[in-house]
Amino acid sequence: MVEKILVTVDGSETMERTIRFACDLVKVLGGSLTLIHVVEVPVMIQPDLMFDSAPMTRAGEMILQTAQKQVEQNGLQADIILKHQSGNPGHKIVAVAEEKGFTLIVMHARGQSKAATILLGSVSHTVAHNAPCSILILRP
Amino acid sequence: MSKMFQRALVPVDGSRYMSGVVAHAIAIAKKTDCSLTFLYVVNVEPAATLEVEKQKENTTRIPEECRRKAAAEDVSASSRIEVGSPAETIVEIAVRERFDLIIIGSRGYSRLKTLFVGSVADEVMEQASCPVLLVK
Repeated sequence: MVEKILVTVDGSETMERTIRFACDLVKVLGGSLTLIHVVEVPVMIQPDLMFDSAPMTRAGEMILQTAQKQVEQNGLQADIILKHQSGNPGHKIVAVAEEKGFTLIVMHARGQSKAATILLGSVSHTVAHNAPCSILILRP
Repeated sequence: MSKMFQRALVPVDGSRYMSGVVAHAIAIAKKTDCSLTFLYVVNVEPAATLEVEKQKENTTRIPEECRRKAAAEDVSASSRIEVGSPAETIVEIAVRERFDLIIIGSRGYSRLKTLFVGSVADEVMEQASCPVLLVK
């Protein structure tokens, strides 16, 4: 089976290590690498409240560019995907994995969760429980 | 390049989902040149005590069968049996013996067919201190 690996990137401090790990993985397993960043759009309670997601979208594009450069520094190439999701980004990651037939999702256990008591962040948890494919969860 | 993984811990439970996980683990071991340790944990959680005897009968057979499968494909592998709470035991062994990867099936020996991720895999994913490959 040819691996189609999806790596979630969020710009957190663990991102570079996650990317290096994913690159090492592709070097031994073969296959392709795609980076995904999901912009988390707040769930609006009042419909007339407008939320401008443009700054977050730009930040997301920068995160993906940085991540893509890090992949190149590891001697590989990666496609990028930018999506928006109202609520938990995990659901979008699962949807993309399903739609595009990824075989493996690589993600960090914590991502942006800062609380030391959180062992598995909410995004990782959502992906782990709903993904159609295998998942590699990194630590610490 | 140094090896990506040296040793992977592969919990096995004898369920019908096991063979997929074992095949996956063997494929990864072949590509990364890591060794596999197939672990069967005899559950001693209070609610499962009635099944301990039944589980014990299977203990030697299950991980040993996996080891043989791996050995047949020239993968360095060992098998072992521990007694305890499955998730706790898996996480503890992984830490204590410095495994650098846990390969676990998302579904296991559970009667709840609606569960996407079994409770053992769920707890291992939460508690492990090394990378976890959750095989679907």
